Amino acid sequence: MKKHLKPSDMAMSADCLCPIESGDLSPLPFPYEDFNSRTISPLNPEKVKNLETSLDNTLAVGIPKPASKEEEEVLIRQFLCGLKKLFEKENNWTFLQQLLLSMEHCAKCQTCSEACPVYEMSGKKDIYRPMFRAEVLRRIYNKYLKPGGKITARLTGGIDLNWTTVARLAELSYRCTLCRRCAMACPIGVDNGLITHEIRKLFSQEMGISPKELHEKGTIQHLRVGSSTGMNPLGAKDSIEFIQEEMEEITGYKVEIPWDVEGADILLIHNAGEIISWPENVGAFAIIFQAAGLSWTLSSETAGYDAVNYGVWYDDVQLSRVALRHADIARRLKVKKIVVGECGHAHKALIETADRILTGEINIPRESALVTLEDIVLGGKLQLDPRRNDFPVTLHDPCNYVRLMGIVEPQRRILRKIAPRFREMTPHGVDNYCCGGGSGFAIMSGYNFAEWRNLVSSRKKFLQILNAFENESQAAPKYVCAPCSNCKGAIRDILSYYHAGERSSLYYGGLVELIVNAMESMKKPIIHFGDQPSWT
Amino acid sequence: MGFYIFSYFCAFIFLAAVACRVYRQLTLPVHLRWEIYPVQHEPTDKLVHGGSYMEDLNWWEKKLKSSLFNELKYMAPEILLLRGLWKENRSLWWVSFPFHFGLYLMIATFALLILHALLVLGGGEAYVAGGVIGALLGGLIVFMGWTGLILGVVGSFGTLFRRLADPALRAYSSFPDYFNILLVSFFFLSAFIACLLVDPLLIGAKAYVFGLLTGGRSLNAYAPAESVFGGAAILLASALAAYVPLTHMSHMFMKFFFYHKIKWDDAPNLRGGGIEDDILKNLRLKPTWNAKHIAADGRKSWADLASSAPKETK
Amino acid sequence: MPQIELAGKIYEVDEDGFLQELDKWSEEFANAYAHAEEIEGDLTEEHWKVINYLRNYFQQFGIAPMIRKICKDLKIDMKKLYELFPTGPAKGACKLAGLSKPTGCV
Repeated sequence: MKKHLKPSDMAMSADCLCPIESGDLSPLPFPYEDFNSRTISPLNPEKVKNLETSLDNTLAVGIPKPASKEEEEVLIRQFLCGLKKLFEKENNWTFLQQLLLSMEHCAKCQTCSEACPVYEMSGKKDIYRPMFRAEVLRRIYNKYLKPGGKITARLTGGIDLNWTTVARLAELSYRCTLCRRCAMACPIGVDNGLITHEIRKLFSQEMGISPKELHEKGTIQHLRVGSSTGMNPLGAKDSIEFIQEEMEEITGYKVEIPWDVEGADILLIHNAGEIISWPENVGAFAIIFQAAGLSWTLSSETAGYDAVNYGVWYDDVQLSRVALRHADIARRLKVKKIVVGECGHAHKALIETADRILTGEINIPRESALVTLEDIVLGGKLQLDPRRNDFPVTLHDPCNYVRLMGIVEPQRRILRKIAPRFREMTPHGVDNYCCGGGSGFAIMSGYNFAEWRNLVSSRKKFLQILNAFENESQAAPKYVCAPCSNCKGAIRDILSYYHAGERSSLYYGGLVELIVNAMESMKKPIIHFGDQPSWT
Repeated sequence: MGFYIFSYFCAFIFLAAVACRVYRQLTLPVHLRWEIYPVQHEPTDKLVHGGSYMEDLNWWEKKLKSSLFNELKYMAPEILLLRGLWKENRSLWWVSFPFHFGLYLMIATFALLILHALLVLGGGEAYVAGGVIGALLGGLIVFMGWTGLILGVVGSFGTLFRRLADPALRAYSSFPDYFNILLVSFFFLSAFIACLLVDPLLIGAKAYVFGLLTGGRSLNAYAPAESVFGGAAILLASALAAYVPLTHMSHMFMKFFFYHKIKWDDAPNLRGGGIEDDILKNLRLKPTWNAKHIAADGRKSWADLASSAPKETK
Repeated sequence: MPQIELAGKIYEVDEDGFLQELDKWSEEFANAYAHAEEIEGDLTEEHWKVINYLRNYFQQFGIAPMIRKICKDLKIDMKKLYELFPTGPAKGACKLAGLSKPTGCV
């Protein structure tokens, strides 16, 4: 019988607590069987010699090992100090109630494990159980911070606190995509995703430990130069000017993209990654808004052209700083509302989570672009010819605005109108599976983490995509509509990792591209399958 | 009398512990939104697909609709039948449902016993002598009591068995988990045996609850604690009442907060509203997080920190 | 922080070999790195045209230009770009030009 790893094993000395070995992962169907024996490439020992690598086969944070016993003790003290702060109103009013409830009421029934795609696809590795890391934190808290905890720990199953435990816990908090399927499945309402989120915060807010893609290159760079891509305001303007030219060449439709228009109805904020990696998305938005006669603008202020807010995944102070910046830009532009482009976590951060940070005149109304688009498409503001989208389409539901914000139907009503061969994935809507790139994973690719993502956390999504197109021939081009930059990045990586473009003719893109592709005023299609235009 | 004193003591602990837990929840600061859909108080046209008011154009200009009926329609089977568990983890439901429903029936039986005692106190001899209400109530007490005990015995021992037999459950269980289930199991078992052997009509239970309300006055000659199992059942029931709210088993009533204060808490913060006042209060709190980029010094408030840029440039 | 030694000099790079700071770059760095990025022989004038363009753009705008923009501005096609930098413009060319690895949702 398989021996189960217990929460107390987190303190166990081992080079690799829970390796993923060849053949462990859930099997893939034809024509991808050759990936079934594939496993994650070993970390390069030279590059990781000073890092804590004893959790599994990969690294997300890459925490340096302490140089001395003294340093180790200091770090453990810092950890406990941060843990205490998570339970204090002054330090954690933002999530105190959620944390307390989830810490105190878990019945350890394992219902959450079955809901978790990472656990399921990994070949059911114990450390990836949603309750595993929560239970580790709970036991540390009960033993080291509760009065008499050291005595009761003998009965309740304590856990030894050494540097390995702490560092493994930090790494483990980056093996969950915060999709919160587990929280939805829990019969009581315990939220192990939330506990993961709180562990990340403890490390970031108290110890300054976080993946550099989220912090240093993420929120810090975002606030300093204006975008987590490093793009400064001049770069944004230059790129968008180029997109404007390109759009006319691609579609034959001339578009003017407005900048910093004071008093416009709408401030549209894109994820700046779109500008660099999916310029058609930015262009398509402009075409639709212009054709529908909307009063709208982009902002060229620092951070005003990048809707991302990585703080929502790991740090409440950074979250607040970015949200405040966005809202203040809208206030100064005197717009009626902010519309967030196709970016899931930006939706959640700015429209929902930050709702209880923004007060008074910076509490500017904020809306999902999908809602704005639904009004345009279903309100008959565009001349559309759905026959132009005569190819199979499926829809990916980004967790952040579907399960976590209840924006489920607008995108579907649009697709039913413009994509005659649209079909759902199973399951979909609020029951969807994460793309595997959630909570920052799509932008994290240090060491071999991208491989872990493609093989483990994105695997369920890949299976779902293949399933959705089961009845189509491998050769027919198919479109995975993923209206979220982060999800698009993850899906792009899945398709390329598994050679799904070549093998199953899978293509992907956003929602606005499909809308523009069906617009009668386009002389040429915006969507291409490789070199082939989607219509002629 | 010793039994009554113990029961009063346990009842006091129960009330104090429940009050503490609930009071703490009610006084926690308003938190950031963290709802999860479907939010069951949404009107039906949204609820069918798990949608929210944020699906509407300019939602802030409209009056928010919410449906108490939809909420109750969800909550009743969730609380009574554990629908979530049925959907997500059916094999566990087969033991967990009788376990929980047995406990519910015990609580209901207890409520009926109190009602019975009150009627006796109010109606005196006339009630005891018979009549339709008396017979109905008596029958209901016997029916609920027995059903609850049978379900409870099956469910609690089933739960214990599952926890021991399933390696995945066993790996994450520790002493208190077994202790809790054993405590409940022993209560059910002792009460079941007491009823089976000496008190099939729950006359002893009626007498004891009457005694509880009257400071030990006896209803009739029979005292339930005369049998070992009856005595054990009283002690364990009292102990359970005191113990449950001290442990994670308080989820039985704390679930209310999980749903209403987190999973379904979608209340938007509107300018000049009550939530805004609470947020402003929170923003005045002074955090002490130590990481450099936070730049907290114990004097700066959340509002100060959020409106400043991090100094760390790396 | 990993380091790499090229032509007798030590450079700080990230785990994928991207230079950490733009101003630590030198022509020797590019020359010495070319082989690792599957470029045979010495860097030609065409290579330098791309490298210098990338560096100028990055200095001014904080990002690498879109690939389509490189082609347009330098009047070369995608095929030629891949001939010059077999590991691709985003990887090979940017690495030689001393640009740091792209970040954000890209």
